[in-house]
Order: sequence, then structure tokens, then C-alpha cells
Amino acid sequence: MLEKVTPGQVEEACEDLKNRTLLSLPGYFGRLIYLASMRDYNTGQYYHDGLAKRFSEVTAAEALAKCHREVFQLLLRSPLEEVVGELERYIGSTPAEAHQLFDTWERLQPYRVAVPSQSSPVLAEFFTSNIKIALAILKHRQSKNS
Amino acid sequence: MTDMISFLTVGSLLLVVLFLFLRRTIPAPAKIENLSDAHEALNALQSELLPDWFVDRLFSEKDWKFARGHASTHIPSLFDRERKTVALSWLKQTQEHVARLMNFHLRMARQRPDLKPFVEIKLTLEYAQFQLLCKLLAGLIRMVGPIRARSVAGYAVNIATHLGAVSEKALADLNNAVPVNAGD
Repeated sequence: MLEKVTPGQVEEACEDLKNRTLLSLPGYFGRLIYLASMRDYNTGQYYHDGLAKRFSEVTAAEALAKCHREVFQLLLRSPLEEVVGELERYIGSTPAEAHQLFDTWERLQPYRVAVPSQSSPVLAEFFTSNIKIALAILKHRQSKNS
Repeated sequence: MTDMISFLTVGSLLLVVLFLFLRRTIPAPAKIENLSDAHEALNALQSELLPDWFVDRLFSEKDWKFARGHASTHIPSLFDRERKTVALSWLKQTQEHVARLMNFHLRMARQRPDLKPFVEIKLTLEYAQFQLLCKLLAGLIRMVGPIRARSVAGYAVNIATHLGAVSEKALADLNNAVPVNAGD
């Protein structure tokens, strides 16, 4: 029998996830990448051991999906200048060399997997397009500084 | 006076011809399975394609100015290219969803005993205006870019929003008249 989850339980799990994990991550872009990484590439299902133990597997999966959609929406609604700032913040928090990251991201476009699965094609296209422009801006800034 | 009578006669005849033409072009009565398709199209329009925040972002002058503020020819041209591509996708999908709704509306209207021809004709004219605006907007986006075409986009969005609201009301009426889960 399928487990029934109430919106209240999902909301509670969301708050828990935000307070314990998401707030410690660097900016919205970092949170988006983290939430996307909680999703199984084959099934599209979200998994989080700690959250599943505190709530239930189904509640945890729904809370992760909800938080993922919320962070994605926030980035979509942000002006391009803020998206650039968020991306810069994320790049600064990773151990990778910036120029290496720019090249890899331009070639492989790994940020495409950060889009929540139920997003409409136009919203997904707008997001990836914004990241492409933001990357070009950051790369340009870096080349000017070096 | 004679001019007035001729004008009214010609106008009435045109309306009758338009009404008959519309009735003839409707392929088949609405089936209950089309309900979910209409709901899906309405939901996509209202929650993804037509919200103000998304249209504002897509046609944002602020973003355009920000991209132009960089001393590079590559960034503004990349920005223009990217925005143009997304704006054309947005326009195509908006047109498709509105067309699905109008198709459903026409099929449904044929079965209504309380059909109001003048309301239907007004709606058809509005839809024709929307299609015309979309063609103009697509041309403008290609020629001058989405940012300079945003006022036309605003008109198209207003009409699409109104057509969506009319369909929403019709769907609500239909849902009230049809038992829940009846074939949907």
C-alpha cells in the first residue's frame, strides 16, 4: 500500500532540510546543485538518508523535490546580474580552478541536470540560457583580471 | 439613411457568413477526453508561460543593459542570440497552448444549447488578433530582438491571458456539469 503523505509533513521536512543542510550551502546555485545531486539519474527519485530516517522515505523525497523546485524558481526570477553573482559564489566555493570549470561547463553543460524534472521546456531553456550567459560574463571578467 | 441600412445589412451578412464558416470548420463535437488536454494547456499557460514575472524576465531591459555593460562584443551578441532563441520558443509554445484551448472551446461551443453567436464571434476575432500579433512578434523578435519587441509581447500576453480566462470559466462550467472522474 502506498504511504500517504500530508502537505504538513512535507512542509516540516522541507524546513528541516533548509535549517540543517541548505542554509549552510553557499548561495542558491550551490543549493540547486546539491538538491539535484540528491536525485537518482535513472529513476528521477530523490533520496536523502538522514531526512528519510527523521520522516519517511516518501516524505523526504517529496520535500527534496519541493525544495528543488523552490530554489530553481528563485534563480529563474532573479535578474541576470544576481544569477552571475550566485554562480560566482558557487564557483568560489568549489576546489576546482575557475578556468578549468569554465571550460568543462561550456563543453559538457552539466548544469542542465540541475533542472527539476517537472519543469516546463521553456523554463528549463531559459535557465540554461542564463547560465550560459553568466558563464561567459565570469570568463570575460577573469580574462580581464589575469 | 440608405448608407446606414446598406452598412448594417453588409455587416450582418458578414457576421452570418463568419458564424456559418466557424460552424463548418469545427471538425467534431468535444469529447470528454479533451478535457484533460484543455486543463493541461490552461495550466501551462497560467503557471509557466504567461505569469508576469516570467514575461518580465524574458523581455527584461535591465538584463539587456547589464549584458551591454561589459566591454566585450561577445557578451551582448551571446545575450541577444540566447534571448532570441528562448523568446521564440516561448512564443511558439504559447501559441500552441492557446490553439489547443481555442480548439477545445470551438468543439464545446457547438454542443451548447445556449450558444451566444456574438460572444463567440468576438472571441474568434480576438483569437485572430492574437494570431496576427504572434506573427508580428515573431518577426520583430527575429529582426530587432526580444527587448525592443516587449510592448508587442505585452499585448499578445494580455490577449492570451484573456483567452485563457474565458476557457477557464468554460472549463469550470463544464466541470460543474460533468460528474467528477467521468472519463477524464
